[in-house]
Amino acid sequence: MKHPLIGLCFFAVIAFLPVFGDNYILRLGTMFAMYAVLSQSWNIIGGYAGYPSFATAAFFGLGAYTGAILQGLGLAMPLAWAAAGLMAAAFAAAMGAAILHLKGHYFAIASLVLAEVLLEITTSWTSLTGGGMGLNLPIIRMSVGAQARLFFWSMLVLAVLTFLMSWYVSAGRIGFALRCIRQNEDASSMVGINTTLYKVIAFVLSALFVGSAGALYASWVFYIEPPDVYSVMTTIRPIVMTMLGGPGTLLGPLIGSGIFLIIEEVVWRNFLSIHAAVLGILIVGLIFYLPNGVVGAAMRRLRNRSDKKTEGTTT
Amino acid sequence: MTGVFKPTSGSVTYDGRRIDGMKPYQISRLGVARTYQVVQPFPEMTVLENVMAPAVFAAGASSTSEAMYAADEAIEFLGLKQQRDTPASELTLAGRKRLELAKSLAMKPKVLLLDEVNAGLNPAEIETALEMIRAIASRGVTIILIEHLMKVVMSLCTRIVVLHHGAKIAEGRPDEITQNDSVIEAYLGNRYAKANAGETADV
Repeated sequence: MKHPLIGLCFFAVIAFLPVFGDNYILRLGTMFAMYAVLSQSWNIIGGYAGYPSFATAAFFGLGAYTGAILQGLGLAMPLAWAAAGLMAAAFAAAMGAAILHLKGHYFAIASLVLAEVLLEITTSWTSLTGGGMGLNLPIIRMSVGAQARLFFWSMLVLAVLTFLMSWYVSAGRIGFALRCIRQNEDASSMVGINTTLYKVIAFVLSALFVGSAGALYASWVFYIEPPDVYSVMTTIRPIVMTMLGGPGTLLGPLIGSGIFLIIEEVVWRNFLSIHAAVLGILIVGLIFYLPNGVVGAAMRRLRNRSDKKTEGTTT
Repeated sequence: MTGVFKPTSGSVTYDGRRIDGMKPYQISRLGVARTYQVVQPFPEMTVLENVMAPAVFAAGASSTSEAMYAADEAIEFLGLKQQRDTPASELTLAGRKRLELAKSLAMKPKVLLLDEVNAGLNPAEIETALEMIRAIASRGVTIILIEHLMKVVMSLCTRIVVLHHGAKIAEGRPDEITQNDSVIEAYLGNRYAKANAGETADV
């Protein structure tokens, strides 16, 4: 029960960032919150259920365009964000029912294709989406500072909502079912778990807040175009962040998002031309040295220590 | 029969309902449990969590504490209390077989299918396994046993069906089966069957 409190403290610390009043710090805070939404969402399907989903960019882009189009039609911003989340969730439910019977690499490729298909549709449907020209969003009449604070707080609220959703999942029946499915799907179905249902639930939950985050991102940057919001990096980042922090744990994605953002800011700004190589090395390093992320390594160390302690008391 | 493989022909009925074509999770909720020849634990979970899974999903426990109570009961019944909080991956083979039985029991089954639960166990372990199976049966659970260890079959079963190359060749009580000519022929060969028939005719 101490895990959720640590997570909430984490958010509380982030919430103090506006005190610095610096727009750069606020931008970093907003980015962290967005990464936290994406990685925590991916953790549901990729971490708990163990299904390597590459669909994050599809949900993100779909949400961004849904939000942008609805706002263009005059819908209030928060409503557009909520609608974008629901749209992404509905899309995930339909697609999940179709591709979740695939396993391993096959599922990964099928989920990767979702973003490509949406990218093509968005680019060709010029009358609705503006095609390759991109889409401008309505200007908000507010000072730059006020805008920065508005999007920071909105994204942070979204990240906290995603955290509460993860908490609910990890502590309850859904998380239990997903952990069983990850370890042995056939055995899961033998002990009475409706595996298809729980996998679709996981896929939908991994899409809901990502869709909203996409719409929020669109409102934040005022202009979106297909290759930007359907970028493969949007898919890869949450996976790397979650693996870094600890897949299938409540705090892992948060810790991973924080570490990743720092690496991104410090290393990538200094080595702009080779940042792809840095990411590659990071992934290889992760697989070799931290297969269960920072949280996994910490838990193992703790367990070893307590084992030694009990040995010490018995001898 | 538990929905893992679809039958190519014929039908399976349980409690008056056709269950062929149902999904494994649906059948498990009706009270039909099975164990596998190859054990299927959730390796990273503790013994307790392993046994709680069927209590929650198949038996439909309404709360965690209820599931834990049911799981603890099954764990104690199978003598796994010492290993309650160890991960399933650290159990011995005999321990994992017991865990499979505990998982099946936590489903509150009416029918239990045991697929060669004794394969790979040493004689002492088989003895304890037999006692457990008898104890489960005495609770009113119907057990269908798939087994080729004659010692196990003869000491446990009240009714035996003998399959040879997928076809039924005999059915009956243990003492009838041991006297059945086609069973003897299938298991011990033609010549032995003839010799045996001659011997019994002599007597």
